Amino acid sequence: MVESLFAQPPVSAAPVRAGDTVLVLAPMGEAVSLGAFAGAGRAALVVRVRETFGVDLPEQPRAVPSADGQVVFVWCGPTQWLALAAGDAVEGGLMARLRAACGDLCALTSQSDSRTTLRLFGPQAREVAGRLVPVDLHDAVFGPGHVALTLAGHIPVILRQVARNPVTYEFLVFRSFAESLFHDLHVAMNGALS
Amino acid sequence: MMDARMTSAPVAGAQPRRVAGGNGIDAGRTIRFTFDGRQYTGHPGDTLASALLAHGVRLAGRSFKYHRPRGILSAGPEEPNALVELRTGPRREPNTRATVAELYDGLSAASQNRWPSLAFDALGLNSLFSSVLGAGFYYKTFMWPAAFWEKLYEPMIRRAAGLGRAADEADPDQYEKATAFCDVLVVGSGPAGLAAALAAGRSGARVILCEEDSLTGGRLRAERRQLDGEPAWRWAEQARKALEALPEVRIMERTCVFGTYDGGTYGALERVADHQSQPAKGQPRQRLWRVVARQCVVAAGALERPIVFPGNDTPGVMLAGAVRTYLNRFGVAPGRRAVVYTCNDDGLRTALDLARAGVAVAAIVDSRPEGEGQGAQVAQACGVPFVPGGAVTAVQGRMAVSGVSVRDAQGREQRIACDLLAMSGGWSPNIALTTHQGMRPVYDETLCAFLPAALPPGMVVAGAAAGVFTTAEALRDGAQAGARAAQACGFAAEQPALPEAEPESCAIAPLFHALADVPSARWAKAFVDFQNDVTAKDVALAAREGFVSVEHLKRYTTLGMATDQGKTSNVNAIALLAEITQRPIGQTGTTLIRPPTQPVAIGALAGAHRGRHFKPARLTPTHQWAESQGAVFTANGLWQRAQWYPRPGEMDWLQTVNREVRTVRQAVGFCDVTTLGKIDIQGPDAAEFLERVYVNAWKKLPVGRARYGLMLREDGFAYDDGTTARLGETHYVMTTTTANAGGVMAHLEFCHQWLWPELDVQFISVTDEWAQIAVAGPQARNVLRHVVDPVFDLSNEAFPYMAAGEVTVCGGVQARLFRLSFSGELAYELAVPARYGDALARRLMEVGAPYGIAPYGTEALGVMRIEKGHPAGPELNGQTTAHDLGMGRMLSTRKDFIGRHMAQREALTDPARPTLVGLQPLNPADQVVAGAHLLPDGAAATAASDQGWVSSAAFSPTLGSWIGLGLLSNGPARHGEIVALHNPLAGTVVRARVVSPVFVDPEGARVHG
Amino acid sequence: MRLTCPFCGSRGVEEFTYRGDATVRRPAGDAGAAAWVDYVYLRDNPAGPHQELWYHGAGCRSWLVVTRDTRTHLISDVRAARAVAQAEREEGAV
Ligand SMILES: [Zn+2]
Repeated sequence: MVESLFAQPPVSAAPVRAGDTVLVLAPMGEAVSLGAFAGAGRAALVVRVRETFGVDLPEQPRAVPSADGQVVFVWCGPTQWLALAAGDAVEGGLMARLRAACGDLCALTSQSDSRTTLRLFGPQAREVAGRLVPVDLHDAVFGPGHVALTLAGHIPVILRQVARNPVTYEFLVFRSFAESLFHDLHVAMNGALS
Repeated sequence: MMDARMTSAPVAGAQPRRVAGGNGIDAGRTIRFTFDGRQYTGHPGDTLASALLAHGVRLAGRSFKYHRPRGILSAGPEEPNALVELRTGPRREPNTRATVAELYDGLSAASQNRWPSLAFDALGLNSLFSSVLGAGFYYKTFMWPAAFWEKLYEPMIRRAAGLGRAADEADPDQYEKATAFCDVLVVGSGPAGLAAALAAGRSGARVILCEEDSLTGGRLRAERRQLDGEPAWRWAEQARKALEALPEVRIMERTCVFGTYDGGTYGALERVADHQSQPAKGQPRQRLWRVVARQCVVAAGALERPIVFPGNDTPGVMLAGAVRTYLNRFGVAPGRRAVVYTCNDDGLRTALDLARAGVAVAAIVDSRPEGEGQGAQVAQACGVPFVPGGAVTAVQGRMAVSGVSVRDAQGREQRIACDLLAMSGGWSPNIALTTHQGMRPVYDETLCAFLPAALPPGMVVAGAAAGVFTTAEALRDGAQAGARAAQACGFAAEQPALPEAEPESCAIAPLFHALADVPSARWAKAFVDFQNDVTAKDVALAAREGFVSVEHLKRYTTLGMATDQGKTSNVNAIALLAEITQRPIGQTGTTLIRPPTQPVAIGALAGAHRGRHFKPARLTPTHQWAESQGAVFTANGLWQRAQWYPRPGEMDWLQTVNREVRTVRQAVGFCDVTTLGKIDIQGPDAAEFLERVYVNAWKKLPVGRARYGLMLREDGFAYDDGTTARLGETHYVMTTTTANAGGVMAHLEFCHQWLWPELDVQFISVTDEWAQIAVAGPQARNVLRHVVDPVFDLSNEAFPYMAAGEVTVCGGVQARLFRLSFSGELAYELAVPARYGDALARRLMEVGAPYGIAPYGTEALGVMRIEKGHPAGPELNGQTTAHDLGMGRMLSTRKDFIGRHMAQREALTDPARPTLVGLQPLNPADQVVAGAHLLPDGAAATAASDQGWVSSAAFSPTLGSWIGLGLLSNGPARHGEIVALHNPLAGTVVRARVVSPVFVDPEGARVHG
Repeated sequence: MRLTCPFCGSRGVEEFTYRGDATVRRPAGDAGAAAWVDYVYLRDNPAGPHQELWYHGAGCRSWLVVTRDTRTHLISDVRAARAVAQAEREEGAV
């Protein structure tokens, strides 16, 4: 029986541009949150993830890629991380792989549809992000791999810088807020250009 | 009668008062502007004030209370007199200071507070009654009768004492808000500020230099002074270039730091496009900055004080420093024949600058006795008569100065013809930013100035703001402060090489007023606060009436309470009060200055958050589809939800909602309920945790089942409710009300992190993850059979009421199915990943069509929950207990939970408490209104007979009657009784029968069907 | 005002919500009415350093014990509430 449902993107607007700075909706990938159980030990989870993914779960607000580059682990609080699949690259699905690796050590919850990723890049990206996010984004303080759980205007976001050249940020925002954040970023882009 | 033309008749194009050498203007280019409809010209770099002065226009406005003619007092943001309406139409901005309004081609300004014209103002008659408009006038005069306030006094005062007119249309411009971070914030770019920025910037520190003016340099642009043998303003330009070359230094001109806030946070307003006729496309007019700085150097300079003497508000009386600014920066001579009146050596420089610009100086009047200060030398150098120990006792001329009366040390009076009086009472350090955190300044007798004492953490003050008045010392002081600030941030800062400055004297003897021996009647025209029209006589009167505290004086006379916050008046007022009460100035007191130091438009504070974007909108997964169905939306917190779905031919919303309710009760409907908070709860102690946050038991709930749960606050009152389903041994998903979703999440985290850290459990919101759609009605199962994949048995036996489980839909899409009912019908909630919500709605419409399916909105949802007696927001109002809501028996006695102990208090279990009941009017057509009081039938509508209230009301199409839920004293015992629903707002009384709150299917048979 | 979250760093106060006194402790299950009234309603209002509970709701969702001078708003200490609560339990257990 083939009658599956079509997936609707969280933002209806096409990419927008102001000068050479661009705002796009990133493709929807798999996202899974990991919440470490205390009993089994947070340390055990770190070890298990290292064994499976070849990377240490960040202890600070950072995002780190797995050794094979298929997964990025984003710090989301003292006992929580968000694992993001890079496209459809994760063999057998990210959730299945995590369940096998560490399902007994942490709460695994799908966030694939909770979060929408808006990507902002270009020469004015830092200026634009600084209009909305009350966090110091100076290159020496907040660079590639850095993460901030904060507010963009009135909207809660997980912000991370993914590249320096050109400066590229990703705003992970709750899906229901995505249209509003897209609008606010677009306004900020026009304002920063002037 | 007088006509505007009589005061000044400039020829368009010519600028008769322009002199050579203005360092801040581009004299090679001419731009045009209008003032009160008349055409004028100016140059780029001019302010509206400098351009008007260039044309000899000196009358700029009328005063607030007495409508006295007023000119231009200052050359900066402290201006109390020259307030104009800038621009026209929706961009019209009242009370704009002409002294800071940058000129642009096509600028249009109008004087305000005058009728019919500036030169002839009918309400100038207020002046004649000034003796009755004195201090405390409002308090004394408009006391009785109270009714007169609204109808007579207030409109009259507002018309007479009005300022400018606000625009009548919405502001068409955009505003922006932003945050900036730095190591060192430098406020002001005069000699101290530039030196501080250079010292800090060269160390590698991140520096933000804010200058409220359009040009950096501060007084370096206003004075004829040399640094390293070059004009000082050239050095300022070189310093600016040097700063620009430093990668970590950001220079922000036209940016006023207006407030100091806790934790090294500063408010600043950037006037991005105020100097243009209108902003470019996408450009904000203004940008509100929040600057977070580890250190702050306040180098905000100083403000010159006027001297209080009769007629000191006449157009043509100007601050001496402002006269020099107009001469040196703008190349404008504000008069042709001047008298200089000063108590300090700095003021004397005005005579030199005037003489050099070719303006005749008729006399120098120095209040200091002969031999004190450099008056004699300066007078000699300019070849000007010198009056030591002198005072100006009167001003001739009404619309403009035509002469002054000067009394010499021997008491002889003479009249001196002049059209300009340059006065200097000395300089007051601009310390506003140092006092915003409650720190009070102290008075320095030598400098005749209030200086900052204690400072907020991380703040230093440098230059004139710290009472360091000479250029050489200000440069050194600034450099030191900048270096120290950078060092405090961990940078190895050195002091920059500083230019050589000429020696100068700032010697001063205190002079705040020239009132000794002046007949008291004339005090009434000696102004202390120009903008609020407060005179020396008002201050004296207030003191005589006992208002001898500065704070009382301020409130009684309104001194310092205008938009200029008393920048030119506060110190003079304190000095006057000190003299009257025979106290030293330092013991008389100070008033605390509050932010903002400059007016900040509400638009800038709102930023982009206005109109439709005042707050973000959360859209449900079916939003676009609902829009395509013509749904009417309503805001539910931040969420936009479909309220109802009108169909062609339906007359009003009630008809639509009735149809939607009947569709659910008779066939099947569906509703997007995604907005309910959904929290994923996992962990070995998840069940134990639920036991402690809900009043009822959870450990025995089997996997694959859901249960209704009620949460209390710790004080025993009901907090939130919802269903929680057990998806696995240690895995639950909780639903909360839409309104409390965020609050419940914070509450769970609080309980876990603070109260019971030993419990091993994790929470994460999945509200946005799932598009959750309620499918309700007798045909619900039949519809779902077309959606849920056939391997899942939906029969009543396999998936009974309150069942919950994971399924797949539409050929493999992962989903969760819950058999829950809010409507009281056979119903399910189906959750699919949010991206499929839209498609699922379309699919339900398709497969449900043969069963008569229709979407329903929040209104029908609400009607059906009232028909079923489910409490919602109006019942869970923070004042009701579980017992009040008919759920007292849910409270477990076998475990501890939040609110358990306080819920057992006698007062909270009293059966006489208002308790949930249904209310059915005897006449079904009688509308029941929420908020109506419940009274015994026939009782008088008094507080004593009030027994409760109607909490929710709706028209029930199922019953064909209005119905209500209410909270009625002893409610459950009174079913069958008739009560009165008293609505005092509409003056109506509806008689209704007390019934069970469950109006429809009280046995609950349908949900089990 | 700014608070330094031990996990997220220095942030503006708009990311946090205030709850109140962090010096009161929830009474044991069998405590008497007076203890509960104290816990729920009675608060000191000191002029000076005060321990308060704040929630980093717009950030990492940590509850924090903040020491704030009520006269100056100076923040002298911020700790994770969970760590404070755990340490107290360990002390109590000894
Ligand atoms: Zn945090």
